[in-house]
Amino acid sequence: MDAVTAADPLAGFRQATREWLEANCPASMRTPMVAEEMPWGGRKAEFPNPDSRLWLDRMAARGWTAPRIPAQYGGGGLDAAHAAVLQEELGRINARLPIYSFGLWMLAPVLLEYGTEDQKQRFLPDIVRGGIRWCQGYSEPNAGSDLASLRTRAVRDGDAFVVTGSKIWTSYSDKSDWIFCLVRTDPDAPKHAGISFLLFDLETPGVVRRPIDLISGESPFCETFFDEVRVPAGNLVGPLNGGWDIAKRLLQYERQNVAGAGFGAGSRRALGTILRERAALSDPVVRDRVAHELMHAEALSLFTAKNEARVAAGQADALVSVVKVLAAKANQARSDVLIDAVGLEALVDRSDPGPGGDPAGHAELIREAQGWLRSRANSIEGGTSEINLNILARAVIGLPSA
Amino acid sequence: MALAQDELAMLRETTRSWIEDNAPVARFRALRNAGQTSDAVARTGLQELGWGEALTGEALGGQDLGMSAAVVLAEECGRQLVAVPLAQGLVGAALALNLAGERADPAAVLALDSVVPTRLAKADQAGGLTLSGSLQFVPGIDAASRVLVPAGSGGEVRLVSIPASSLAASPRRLVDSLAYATLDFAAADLTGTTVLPRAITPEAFAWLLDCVLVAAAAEMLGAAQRAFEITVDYLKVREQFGKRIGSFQALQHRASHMLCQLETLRAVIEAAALAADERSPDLSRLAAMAKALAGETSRLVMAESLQFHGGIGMTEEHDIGLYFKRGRVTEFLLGDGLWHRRRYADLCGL
Repeated sequence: MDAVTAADPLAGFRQATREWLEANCPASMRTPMVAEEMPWGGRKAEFPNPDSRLWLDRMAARGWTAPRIPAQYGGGGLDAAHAAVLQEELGRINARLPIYSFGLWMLAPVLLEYGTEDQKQRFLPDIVRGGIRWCQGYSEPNAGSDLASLRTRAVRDGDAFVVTGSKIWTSYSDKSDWIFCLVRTDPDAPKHAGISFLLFDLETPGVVRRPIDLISGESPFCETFFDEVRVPAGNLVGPLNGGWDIAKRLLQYERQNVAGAGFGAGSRRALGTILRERAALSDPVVRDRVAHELMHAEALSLFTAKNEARVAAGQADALVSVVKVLAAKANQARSDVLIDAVGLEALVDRSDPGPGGDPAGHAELIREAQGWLRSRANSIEGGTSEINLNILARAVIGLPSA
Repeated sequence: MALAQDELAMLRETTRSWIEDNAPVARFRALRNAGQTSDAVARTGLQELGWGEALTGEALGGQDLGMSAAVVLAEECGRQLVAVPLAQGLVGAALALNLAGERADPAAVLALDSVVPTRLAKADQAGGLTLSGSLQFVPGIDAASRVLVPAGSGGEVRLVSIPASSLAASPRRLVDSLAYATLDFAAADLTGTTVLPRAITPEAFAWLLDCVLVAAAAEMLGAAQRAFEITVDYLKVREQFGKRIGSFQALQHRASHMLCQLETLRAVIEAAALAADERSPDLSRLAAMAKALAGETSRLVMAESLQFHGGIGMTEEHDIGLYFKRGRVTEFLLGDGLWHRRRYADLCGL
């Protein structure tokens, strides 16, 4: 499908896009992403590779970091067909994502659906540009799978809400600028009916953030504490006490976007390469298992793309839990088959000096070992696999509740 | 001519309602009880419904709706276990005849080996036609008046058209109550046999074989999807401990796992059908995926469906057992999971 043909009604756009990308996507942005160079944007944005900033700024200037968001909010304003062409052309040159952003993946779609005109104009352009980094204030120490039992309070005081309580597993809250946060605004209502959806700046007095050390040795998650944090009342999204529907919708977007995780084409190729280099694929049992996992991962990416088209057409719904459940399974299975095939050399600690002689491959296996530990969170974060299986059973299959 | 999504949906609706009226699973049961292994009424009826035209090329005056439409037919037949040769008959024979320059023939079946689908007969036309080779567990021979045997001679493949009555076909029966045959070509009587004049290129034959695999996977999806629906309906009404058993989380999670497999398989089959219609180089990989994953999905869904029904599912009178048996057989037809994963690994360069 590489050829630009006259029969393609989007041919002009495709040609112009291809030429623009050719001229504007730096060469180093056409290589597989490495974790250290992921651009997350925000006030404290870091660009270890200066090309990342160039690429982000150029894409953001066209709104192409958010192709489907209307142009008046800074997005690309493209329809589904044009956005698909852009994706194909980006894929053709293996272009990196210009920005990694919870704001873009989770908050922007619900702002478009539930935000006021003023809120869209205030928040969306910064999300598209990567100017503000957002984090998600959902889970609490006593509200995990039973999220709706959350207890962080927001009490109205004049023109502000005063927020007190704590959140946990807030990914990158220590590196973020703002939070979209679920708060209890009516403690007497049934648990789903007393929740509101609030946005606020993490630099506001009363906010404390503390990273949590994980089994992988990394600390992507934080505890985030709020002690009488004053939030302007205009930062309430949707109706007071009507936050639960927004919370659920945001989770649907979040679950769709886990697709960026480990089972993409690049990650599938890397698994094959690592095992081939170690001659592990000459064992027919290993080869069969690898083929099995790759096949499931590829099948999932096809389903994810299909569901993405439904989401883009405004049909986000509970079926997205299929992506969430299977992505966790695919990532974990990928790590397991790699470790099974390679053995102890794939369970190396970061402090391991290595066997000598193969430093590049050794670093790769350290990353894989950490990836394996990281992957165990995939079936817990963003709604556990068990919760997502509940959702599929009730909301999609229609099985009765107990 | 490719159809739009809404046109495909209409085609599905028409086909489903025709099959539910004329060839529901109850008819498969009745035919089986009468000792019959194929449904001639369904075969002719589906042809007349327009499926013959639909899968005939435009050059031959047909509509050429392609694999995106063919998988709809396959899935709908699978839902009611319609006893017609589907992958190698209604779809496979039609596409094969197109490649050889002939119109679809409802009485033709494409003979492919069930264990190693790439295995071909050998034809020698020097000094009169002779055939050699054999094929195992070929389905649908009982329903055919004409068997199309792909025969390799060098790189190209030719279709040898043999009257079913002339074949040396040893009948086999499997647990799905359908008829299979071992074909031994060296022993075939070649009276009335013709070699279709237009040769099929190796690339076109590879495409044909992939299309047959995709159709087979779609038929398996249809059967598994229907078994799932029957089972979900049962979970919603069956009560134990004073509750509907579908409210138990242990069963809900297993049902959700079944749904996950069915939904991903559907996405794979749609992508494979599109790849077939676009003559994409990805087709072979997707076809191998489709067939292997259809086998896994079918295994899971059929076994869970039987288990969820409890004792009633083990009885002869309940339909779920028919789906269970068909599912296990189709896993192995046209190459089993191991075979297709090996092919997928080759195509991925593993």
